[in-house]
Amino acid sequence: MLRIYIGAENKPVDCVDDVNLAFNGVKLKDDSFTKDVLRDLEQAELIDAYTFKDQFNRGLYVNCLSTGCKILLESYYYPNRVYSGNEMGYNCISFLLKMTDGQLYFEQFNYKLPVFPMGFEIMINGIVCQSKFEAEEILDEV
Amino acid sequence: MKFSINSIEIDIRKDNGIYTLGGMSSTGKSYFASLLKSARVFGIKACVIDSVGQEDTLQDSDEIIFVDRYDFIKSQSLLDMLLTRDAIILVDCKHDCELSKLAKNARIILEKDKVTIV
Repeated sequence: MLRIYIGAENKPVDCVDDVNLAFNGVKLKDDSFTKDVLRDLEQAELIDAYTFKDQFNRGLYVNCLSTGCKILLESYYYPNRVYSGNEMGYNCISFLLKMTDGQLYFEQFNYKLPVFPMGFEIMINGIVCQSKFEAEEILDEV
Repeated sequence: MKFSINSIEIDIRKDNGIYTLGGMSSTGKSYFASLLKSARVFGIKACVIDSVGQEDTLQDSDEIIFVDRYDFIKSQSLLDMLLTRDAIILVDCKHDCELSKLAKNARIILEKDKVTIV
């Protein structure tokens, strides 16, 4: 289950803040989540574990991915680690609903959540939410 | 202000002031920052701040200041410094904060061999 921590008082002590630095050495996986994020967020295409093709058909190394993209992939690849989501743009949020695992910390969460897909669950500050409505109730209290 | 870095044309259509570049990811902000990092090599008075404490590298003559990843590196001292500068200050800031309340909006338009700030 995707776990979200919101608010400085709920920040896990082992949260990875410098998500760009933490991305060094990450290899892209040839899976549907990676391909979806690259295609829909970056308008890019996976070449191999180390490179991708950008919207202008240029081959680039993975370190050239956007910070938002890196956070999504890091938290998907390493679900036992908590990553800071503070640098994620609002266009990253829909991808959270494709994650069945992972942990993200946000100092503030000002994003609009999309409708949850059937069976999707998210834990926000320790409370399990099974719908957008339930999640928004929690978010209103934060 | 127009200039080029290698074969990439940069066109910044803003006057001096502080501008945030919107709350979206993957618009080309960090790519723009990587280009600007080499600006001084070509005699362009520009500086990029993208890590904590890096504001010390600013020069008084800098006409363009790009602050990348402000949500990560923000601090009161950085904000205070930016408020004193008379330059085109572009900030990658995705969340509401003290700086975003003071800043105007700008947008980055990415083309294959051109970056435009409007």
